[in-house]
Amino acid sequence: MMHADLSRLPQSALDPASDPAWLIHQLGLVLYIGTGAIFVLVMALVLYGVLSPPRRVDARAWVIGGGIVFPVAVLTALFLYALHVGHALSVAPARAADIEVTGRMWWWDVRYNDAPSGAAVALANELYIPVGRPVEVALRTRDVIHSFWVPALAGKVDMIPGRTNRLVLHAREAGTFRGQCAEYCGMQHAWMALHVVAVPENEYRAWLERQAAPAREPDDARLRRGRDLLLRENCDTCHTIRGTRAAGTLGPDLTHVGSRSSLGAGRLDNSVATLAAWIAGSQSIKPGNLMPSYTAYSGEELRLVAAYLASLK
Amino acid sequence: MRFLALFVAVCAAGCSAPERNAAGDASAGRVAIERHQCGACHVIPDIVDARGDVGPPLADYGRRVYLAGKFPQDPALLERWIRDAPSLEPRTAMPRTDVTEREARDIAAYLRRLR
Amino acid sequence: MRPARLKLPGKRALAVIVSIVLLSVAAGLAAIFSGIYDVSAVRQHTAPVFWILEATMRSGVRRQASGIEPPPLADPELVRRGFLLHRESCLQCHGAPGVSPHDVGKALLPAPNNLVQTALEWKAAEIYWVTKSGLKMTGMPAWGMRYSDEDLWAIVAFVKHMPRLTARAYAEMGERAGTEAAKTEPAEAARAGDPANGKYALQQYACTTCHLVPGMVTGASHVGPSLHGIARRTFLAGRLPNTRENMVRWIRDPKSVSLATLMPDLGVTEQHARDMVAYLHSVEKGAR
Repeated sequence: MMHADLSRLPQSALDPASDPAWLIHQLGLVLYIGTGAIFVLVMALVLYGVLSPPRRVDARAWVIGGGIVFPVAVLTALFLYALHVGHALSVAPARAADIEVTGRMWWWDVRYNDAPSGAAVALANELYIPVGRPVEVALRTRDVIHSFWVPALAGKVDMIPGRTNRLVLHAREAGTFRGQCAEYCGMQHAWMALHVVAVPENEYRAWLERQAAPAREPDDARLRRGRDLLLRENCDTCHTIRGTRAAGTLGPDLTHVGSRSSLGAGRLDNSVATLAAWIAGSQSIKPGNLMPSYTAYSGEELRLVAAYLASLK
Repeated sequence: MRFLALFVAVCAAGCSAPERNAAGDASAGRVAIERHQCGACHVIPDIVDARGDVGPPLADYGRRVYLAGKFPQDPALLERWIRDAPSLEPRTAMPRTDVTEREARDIAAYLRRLR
Repeated sequence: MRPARLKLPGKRALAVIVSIVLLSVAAGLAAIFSGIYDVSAVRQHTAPVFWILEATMRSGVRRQASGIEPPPLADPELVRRGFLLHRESCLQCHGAPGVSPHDVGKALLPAPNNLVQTALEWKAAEIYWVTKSGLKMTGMPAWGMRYSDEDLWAIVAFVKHMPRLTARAYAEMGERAGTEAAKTEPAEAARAGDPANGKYALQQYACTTCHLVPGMVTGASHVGPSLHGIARRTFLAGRLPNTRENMVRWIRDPKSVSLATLMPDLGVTEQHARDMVAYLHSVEKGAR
């Protein structure tokens, strides 16, 4: 069973691992510290006003100075700073995106454009990126507004129907970073998570090559039977497994589903047991998701199908 | 002073230590259940997100008379079932898990406490 | 003249009333939980308790039977059929003219009535209702699920005929019948599962002795898994896809699904199984 690397906080804007996230974090720190200081100052003035012996003050000066001049100055400075950060974060598309992520209810459809020999690489709910090299991600949606948010790497960028937004992911260190949808998109919005895994460049290339390859042929009779059962129940209506006749596009590409770190967009860890749980009972654990619970398999058949899918690494 | 010491000693003796049989630690069992996501298939009391309907609910498991509808309840058999159910019933839907022996003992202890 | 103002009980009187109520409740609870009341089947009830139980039972039966119109019961063929049914199902507890009940009928408290006495004391509609619905907290089973209404009236006809039989006459009826078994009415035509009848069936096949059943008040039984939520589950017996047909199959023939199962074959009819399935699905939102 694969677990996300939890040596760092799984999903924290306070633990940035890339320049854009660091810029946002800095802005945040300025806000927290600055506003904290102003708060303390104001409270001190209140206490002074309450506790000190009464004396005349120039009220008008205080109101204009403290109520107009000071806020305008501070807010203007803040505004300019935020504009600067915003500009630094914006991305003018300079080239074709390396990765295309399409938000769907309630999973992430991920496609890579820079696989060797132009092979199609499609997966779900997970992205691998090379450490130290900026990667451009095109963000779209097939249904409602979603928002791509991996706090350790970047700010939120909405995925808006009819538009393509861009984001640059530029990890400074290796690790697994959890993200989730940040725009309410329906019943299972809370379970629309994804993982971005940053690895050294050579590992990234190797991974991409593996993902570009068609599905692994079953080694033994058990796994072959699992594949036949999968096709028997018409899973290919919705799913693609490259290298078999399954070419459906309503659900995630399952060609290398066994290599992913989670199922159901972060709902479950990935193992034979959880694959079986998902197939036979996804409606109980992620109600309303667009895959029905499959009750046509007998107990043994279910295990065979799960074993086959787990073998697709 | 002696009375105070005695009082404190009596109170300490009454404090419940984590329930630890020689056979398993129920609170560790609960952690193991959450880690292995048994709730993906079973409804289990007091476990986060344990809402699965693929397998039977495990409420009141400690009062169950039989295991898997076939066997009289037995601690060693329950642990084996948790780790490798198909070895006891080839047609079951419950797959082999990667629960360790220690974890299985703890999980069994947790389940037996569900009454 | 102005009406006199109502005088409310003073504080003292109120305190006395409240104390009496609380003491009564406490005494009642003590009586229940101390276990001093003899619940064995060996020693009788105390007379007052017996009177309360009897009166409650009689009133209940009278009320339930009041709307029932018996058919004509004098037909000799009906009586003969009733004789066969009585011999098959009633004799072991109630005996017959000149015939002792079996041991099971002798050791019950309350003891099963002598049916000749019953025939003289009770109305036909009342006998029909008791036979069909049984009586709580006695050994009298409910025969309504196993016998059709025609069969039940046949039994009533025979019971009403019993006071006229000498021991010899009864024995001769037996000799004439030989080993003939009672022919029960053919099963009713198949219909869609009826949840109300299913709830009744779940109780009548003793399902509650092994399973927790939604909607039933019984002792907790954990011999088998709870049936709460069973309509939503993916599998039956851990391996069979949970469809209505499969549930009927599991209920009627557990060993065909799992050879080593401890769930017995309870002889559930196809119709009753379908009713049970309908009930279990009806209590479940989101059933598959």
